[in-house]
Parts: sequence; C-alpha cells; structure tokens
Amino acid sequence: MKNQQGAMATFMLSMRLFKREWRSGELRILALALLIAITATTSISFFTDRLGAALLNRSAEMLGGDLVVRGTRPLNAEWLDAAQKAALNAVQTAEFSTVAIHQERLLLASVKAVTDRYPLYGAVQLADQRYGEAYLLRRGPSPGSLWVDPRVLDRLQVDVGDQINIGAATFQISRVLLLEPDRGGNYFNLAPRILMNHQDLAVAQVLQAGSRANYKYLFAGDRPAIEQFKAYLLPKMAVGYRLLSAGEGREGAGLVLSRTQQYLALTALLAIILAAIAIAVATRRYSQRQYDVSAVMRCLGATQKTIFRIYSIQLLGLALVCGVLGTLLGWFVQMLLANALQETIRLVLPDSSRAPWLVGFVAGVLVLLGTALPPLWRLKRVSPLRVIRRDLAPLPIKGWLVFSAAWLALCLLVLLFTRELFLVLALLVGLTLILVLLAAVIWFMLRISKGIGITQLGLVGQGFKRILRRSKSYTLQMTALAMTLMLMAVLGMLRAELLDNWSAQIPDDVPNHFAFNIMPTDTEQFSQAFSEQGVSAPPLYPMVRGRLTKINGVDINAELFPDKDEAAERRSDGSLNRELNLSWTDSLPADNEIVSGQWHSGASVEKAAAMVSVEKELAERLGIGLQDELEFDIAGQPLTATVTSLRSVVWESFTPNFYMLFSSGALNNLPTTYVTSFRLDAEQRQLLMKLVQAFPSITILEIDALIAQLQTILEQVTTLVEIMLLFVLLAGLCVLLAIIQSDLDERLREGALMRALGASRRYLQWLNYIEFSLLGLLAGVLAMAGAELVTALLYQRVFDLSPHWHWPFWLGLPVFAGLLVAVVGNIAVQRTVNQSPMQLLNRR
Amino acid sequence: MEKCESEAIVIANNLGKEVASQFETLTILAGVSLQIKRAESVAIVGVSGSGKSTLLGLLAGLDEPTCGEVSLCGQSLSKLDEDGRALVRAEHVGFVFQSFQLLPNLTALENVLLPLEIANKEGQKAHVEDLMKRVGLSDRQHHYPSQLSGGEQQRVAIARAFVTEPTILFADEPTGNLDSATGATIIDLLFELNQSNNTTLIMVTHDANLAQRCDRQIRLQAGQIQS
Repeated sequence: MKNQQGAMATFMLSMRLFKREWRSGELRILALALLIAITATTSISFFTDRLGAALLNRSAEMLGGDLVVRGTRPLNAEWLDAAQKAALNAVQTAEFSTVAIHQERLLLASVKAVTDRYPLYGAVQLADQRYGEAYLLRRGPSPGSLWVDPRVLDRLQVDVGDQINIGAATFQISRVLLLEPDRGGNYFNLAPRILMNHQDLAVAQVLQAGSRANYKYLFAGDRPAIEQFKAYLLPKMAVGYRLLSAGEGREGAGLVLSRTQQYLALTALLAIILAAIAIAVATRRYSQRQYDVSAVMRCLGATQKTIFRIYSIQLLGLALVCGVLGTLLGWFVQMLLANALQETIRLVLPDSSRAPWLVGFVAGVLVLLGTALPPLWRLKRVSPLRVIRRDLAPLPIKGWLVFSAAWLALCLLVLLFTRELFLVLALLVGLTLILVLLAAVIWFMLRISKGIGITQLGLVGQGFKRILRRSKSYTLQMTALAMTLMLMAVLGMLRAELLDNWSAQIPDDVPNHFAFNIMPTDTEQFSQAFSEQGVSAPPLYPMVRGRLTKINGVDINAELFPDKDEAAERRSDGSLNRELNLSWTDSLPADNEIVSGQWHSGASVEKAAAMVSVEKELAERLGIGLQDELEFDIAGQPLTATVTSLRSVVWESFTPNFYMLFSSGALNNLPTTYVTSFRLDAEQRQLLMKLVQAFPSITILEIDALIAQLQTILEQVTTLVEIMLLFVLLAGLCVLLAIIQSDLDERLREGALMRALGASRRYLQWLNYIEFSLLGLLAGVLAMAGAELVTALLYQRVFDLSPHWHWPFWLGLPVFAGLLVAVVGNIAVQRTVNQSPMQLLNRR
Repeated sequence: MEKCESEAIVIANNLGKEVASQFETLTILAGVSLQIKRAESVAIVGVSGSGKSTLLGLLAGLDEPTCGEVSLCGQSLSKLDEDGRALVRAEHVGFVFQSFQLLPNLTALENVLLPLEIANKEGQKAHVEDLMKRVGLSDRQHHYPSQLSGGEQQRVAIARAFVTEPTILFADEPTGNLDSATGATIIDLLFELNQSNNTTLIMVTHDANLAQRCDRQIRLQAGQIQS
C-alpha cells in the first residue's frame, strides 16, 4: 500500500516536473526531434506501403493476377473451386496458335481465350477501327465476337464488323485490339493476337486433347488470402505447371518495379535510422542538461530510484504524446502527398495496410528508450556533491554502450518492419566501418597535428586545435554527422544509378516498330523507301530460323530431359519449342556484353567449324558452357558450331536481339530473311502504309502501346524515387540541425569567454566557419567511405547492379557537407558572436 | 524515520578524505573529529583549499569519506548506501549554497515546494505561503530564478531549505555571491529562521564577521582542525 502511494507520488511529481520542464521549453527540443522523427517515419512508411501496394498492382496487372498458374496441359478444375471458396476472383485463359480464315486468306494467329471476369487487373486497350482512337475497357469480348490485332485486319483485308472463321465457327470482329494488360514483354510474338471468349472454345473445337496450348488460371484477392492460396497450390505444382506471383518478375518492367520497391524499403529504413540519430542526439543534450537538476534533487533527498523513475515516466509520457501526434501528422502528410501524386502522375494509390499506423510510433518509442536509457541510467548516478563542485559530471557513458543500446533498438526495428536481414547487415557493416575509420582518423589527426605543427597554421590551425581539444564530444558529433551524410549519399547514389538505368531503357528515339521477314531481294528497296520519305534507313539484321537439337552430341529433347513432362516444361520456356532466331555478325551489338569467353570478331570466315556466341541466361538454363558443340537443324540441314563466348543482352532495348550470334559466313547459303526496328512518329505513319503495301510479305509490329506502358511506369517510379529522396534529404537536414545544436551550450560559453578575453567578433566568426567546415568536410569524407561500402553491398546483393566507385560524390559530398555545416552551424551559434559576453556567461 | 533526540546531532570521528590524481594521492582532510549539538550554530573557516567544502560535503552525506565516519542524528552515514543517505537528507537536512542552486525551469514557489514533493509531503500550503512571506517574496512567487536578483534567489534557496523544517541546515558560503548589504540581510534571515526553528546551523564561510555571529568556529588548515 505504502509502495503504491510512493509510486503514485513519484508519478505525480514527474508529471508536475514534466509540466514545468515543458513550459520552460527545455523538453521542446527533444519533443520536436521526436515529433519530426515519428512524423517522417510514419508518413514514409504509409507512403511506401501504399506505393508498394500500387507497384504490386502494377506487377499483378502485367502478370494478369496476383497469382498465376501456368501449364502446358489443361489445369485442374478443382483449383478454381478452391479459389472460389477462398473468396478469390479467378479467370481462366488459354493461348494457342491457330489459323484465322477470311474468304481465301489464311493467317496464323495467336489466340487468347478468356473467361468473363477478364481482366482481373488493368484494362484492355481497344479502338473501334484501324488507326482509330484508343480507349480502355475492363472486360473481354462477349461470346461470338473477336477483338483482333490491327495486323489481322491488314493481312486478312477485313474490317471491324466483318466475319472470320476460327476452327469450326464463324465470329464477328467487334473491336481492334491494341494491347491487353497481361501481354508481358513478349514483343517478338510474331503471330498477331486475337482475343476471344472462353465459351467459344467449345464451339470452335480448336483445342483437342493433346493440342499445344498454354493454359492459365489467374487469381486475384486480398494479400493474406492470396498467400494462403499460394501455400495451397505450391505442393500441387507437378512438372509442367508453374506458379507465378506478382512482384516476383525480374525482367523488363517487372525489374523496374521490384527495384523501385527495394528503393522504397531502403528509404523507409534510412528514415528510421535518421530519426534514431536525431532522437539520440537530442536525448544526449537533454540528459546532459539535467545533471544539475538531478544533483539538486539528490541533495534535497531524492533517491536514485526516484530520479530514474521521474525521468523514465517523463520520457514515456513524451514518447506517448509525440507518438500519437506524430502518427496523425505523418498520416496527414502522406495523404497530401498521395493526392498530389494522383494529380501529377495519375497514380492512384491503394489504401494502406495497418502496419504503418504502428511503425512511426514503435520506432519513436524504441529509439527513444534505446538511446535515452543509458544516459538516464547515468543521470541517477550524478553525485549530489556536484552542487558544491560543479565540475563533477557523472562518469562519462561508454560510447559503445550507447551505441550498442541504440543499435540494438534499431536492428530490432528494422527487422520488425522490413524483414530484410541483408539490408540490416549491410548497414551494420557500413556503420562499424565508419566508427573504426573515425577513431583512426582522429587518432591520426592528433598524432600528425602535434608532429607537423598544424595548429600553428593561423586560423585553420586554431580551428583544428578546437576540434582536437574537444575530440571526445566531436567523436560523437562527427559520427552522427557522418552517418547522416552517409545515408543521404547512399540514397542519392542509388537514385542516380536507377534513374540512369531507367532512362537508358527508353531513349527518346526508341524504335516503336519491328519489321520481320524482309527478303534479301527486298532489302535495298526497303531502305530506299525510308530515304524517299526523308527517314534514315534502319540497320538490317540477317536472321535464320533454326532449332537447337544437340548439345555436345546429346539430343536435347530425348536425352537431356528424359522426363517427357520436363522436356515439355523446358520447351515452354520458349527457347526450345520454337525455332530460334539465329543471326551472324562480326561486330558485337552495342548493348550486348561478353561475360565470358571471347567475341569472334575477325575470325576467319574459311574456318571449318562455325563459332557461336550464346545469350548467357539461355546458356545457364540449358547448361551450355564455353567450347560446347551445339548442333542446329536449319530447314533440315544440320549445322555444328562451337560456343566461344557468352553474352548478356538487354532484351528491353527495343532493338533486334538474338540468343545465338554466329561468326559471319557460318550461316551462308541458308534461307535468310532480315529484321529491323525503327522509329516512326505519328506524322510519318504514311510510310508505314507504304511499306505494308509495297512489301506484303513483311511483318510489321507496332509496339507504341507497349512503350507507352513502360514509359508511364518509368515516369511514375522516377517521380517516386525523387520524392522519397527529397523527403529523406529534408529529414537529414533536420538531423543536421539537431546535431549542431547538441553542444550549443558549450559553444556559447566558450565563445563568450573568448570574447571576454578580447577575441574580436570577426575572429570568432572566422574561427566558427573554419571549425564547422572542417567538421563537415571530415564527416563528408568518412560518410563517402561508408556510403561506397554500403552501396557496393546493396548494388551487388539487392539491386543486381554492378558496383563501381562514385568519384563525383567523393568530391561533391565533402565540399557540400563542409559548406552546409559551416552555414547552418554559423547560423546556430550566431549568438556567440552577437550577444554580449555578459549575457551569455550569466545564462546557465 | 524517528525524530532526532540525541544531544550531539552531528558527530565526526577521525574523518579523512583522499583524492587520487594521475601522479599522486592528495590528502584533503585528515583526522577530523568533531561534535555539534542541537541548535548550535557553527562556522567552518579557513583559507581556500583548506578542506572546508569537503568537510561540509562529508558531514551532509553528499560524499563518502576515505576513512572515519559521520553520524547525523544518531544514524551512521557510513552504514547507509547513497539512497539511505538521500532519505536522511530528505528527513533532516536543508542546504543553502553559494551559487543558490535553484532549478532554472521552476518558479520561486515551485523551487520551494520541490523538497516537500520529493518527500511526498503535500497540503502544507499555508506553511509555504507563510515561509514565502517571511523571506519577503510573497509577491515574487511566480518569478523564475533568472528574473530574480542574487539576493532574492538566495532568499528562495533559504525558504527551500527551511520548508521541510530540517534539524540541520548546511550553508556553503551563503553570502559568497552577494554584495555586503544584501549579504547582511540574508545572514539576518538565516539566523532568525535558525533560532525560531531551533535548527542546527553549520556554515562554511570566509567572512570573519559572519563567523563571529556563530556560537562556535572550527578552523581548518591543510585539512586538519586547528585547535
């Protein structure tokens, strides 16, 4: 009972003290740091959560659903029932090649039959006539009608409203199909697409048992339901079936989206760390300023326990108030941002999950406790004798203690919210390196500055002296500063890297047309047609169609994959079931890169054995290595070639690319056609009509819609990355201010003393400038070292980019940091220069 | 805690304090023994560095001696830990310091109330208001220390020291930061309250006049009592 009363009394006392401290403004600095930190963390995590969901939707749109089962055989109908029970939306599709007929004309088309709920995500791009205005529709064709690629109209010479035959049935063409959302990056799908209703499959009788087709179930629903359903389906995936999830794509736009998501996750993580630094710095200053107060209270009879309780209750109260306020503010900020985004780049963000409501709050409280508890623990040990002898500070807290406590809190947080162990490790390594470097540099500075008399160098020497004299307090300050700069640099470097990468994907003059089947006899006239229209003729690439039959004498289908289903599955990868496009050239295409072996340039044409360079991912899939003998079947003629190099290929480059590039001459006397890609703007479209009429055998593929889709995505993610960077830079600036403020008292006192002793204002101002710029410069160099390490790890392990040095940053960051810290620092300590020394010395 | 009834209210036995510096061990106090009776006023005098403040700190239980022991109101401080000593201070001891040691973020009244709040003794409003009146600060209760003159701040400190009606009042150079006129009024106030409350007053001072007004003077030289 007495205990309870005592606890209550302590609580009341700490509340009273809290009120008084608050009124005095002492707590406000800490509260502000906490509030900003929690607001920033909350809004960033709300934002990243919603963006993540938006990107996932995008990715789901391109995949056709949140979850997709694909197979080369008809899929189990039970799965559809199960999906219905799990309250998921499901769509069934079947893709196959078949012949479309109109009067005497035949066309091999790629038909996709879809059930009624198609598409689950996004919309189908359509037009009412050839070259008509495009519009979107969120459904598939109704039974009896077809939506067809413009090429179907050209090749069959029909129009919207006409009838064509597929299989045993006659259908009416009701619209022109420009792009369905889940077509994917399959630009080279030569056969024009026809979209039909799934019910019509039975009528047309095109799919018989054993027919070659690609069957899919597309599922959409809540995240948890999808995850559950995925777990249900996974064990049922026998050979021949594949399970695909949204957000897992690593090619083309899928890669862009997944990288953006990783960038967002990283941003959220760095924001939390920045917040932690700000809170840690503010807490340190606060607890230092409480030394006198606790000494007096101890003198007046407060026990250590009471002191500890008082401060713990105060901090918890503060965390609670700032937590609630910051969370609400954070929510509000991201709402504004989301609305702005919706208006500027037409990106509608889905609602957030519940987690972000907690992230900022928990982050704030955890970090506050992690950084505040060690100093508070010390605070209770302030000797009451300090009231008589002011110099008695409590034993300094071991730096590593605070660091590990704060670090522990951080790791917990990061793991809690990102579940990305690797990110945590990368940052840990970066931070530790910075600390070690910092200690080494300070030690080194002390050593050489004494040895070479750097402190004799006029004002610069004086500035150095000041730093050296207070090296302990500077170690902390500089660490915080270097960390802040490092985090900002990491995001800045990544941003530059990603944006470069993305903008290279779609240059302004990106080709928006592919032309296939250009006969060797037509090449000259084809090029001439361009020149006549004042358009420069595109380069033509020779192409031979062939099938890979043997690797080192082993038959691919029979021996390499004895399981028939597995062979079918490999074929469904697309590289073996169809004929491959083979080409030859002596000069390595611009966006190809040799990853192993040697490019066959300059190789003798007469050499008996042909040489071939293989695309590296295909080589990996098929287990092809250097010096392997590949055997091809080209129009019935066998051809053997030795693998002399493996290449990486940028498939998204919108220029013709080939899995197999032979040495020139190797494919002589084989049936060759030419292929090319070129750009035609809207006003040059008449050239297209001309080409279609002049060369009826040439297939021209328009990919404007695909490019536009990718462009929109890139535009959106670029804006997002920029916004997030700006967000973090602002947060970083706040932290910078907090860091400089952290030893303001000491600076004010020192400045006042120096002025009392006769230092001129000008002298002090210069000294401040030099001291702060040295501080920023040094922290900048250290930050760069850490940032290089962290980005190298991130590039390699998370973003799939090749690591490299960032020289411009090495120059820019330290100089920028030096200037920034000098300016901001000088504004902060302006009082040392402007107020009278008397005023400053009198103030506690 | 029982009320202090013993005759000798402060007893120091063979008190010594050494401080180890980087190169040598400094002896600040050695073999100090003394007894102070209830309601007695004692001045500890001596030149700078003679160990006056150290002795005060040891007697008040703010610091631990290297050897010897102190007992306050019959309680041996060396047998108590820091928290035990804090409770003794809360119960029996008041302080007045040279540098006032008011909490800057609390008003005059709140500073005075603080010891009561720490000891969880509330509801003594009349007593506090009376005390404020007696130190002449009735109309400045809601001012912050920075808004008060040195003399006024020391009055607040005195009111804070007396508010718990301590048995012993320790004063460390209470006039050291004040001009002589203000100092005189502060001293008058201190003695007046000392007498009316029957408090034991132990004061460190440089001021010969002030020392003269005490019942007894203890002179320290080089850490030892001069007899």
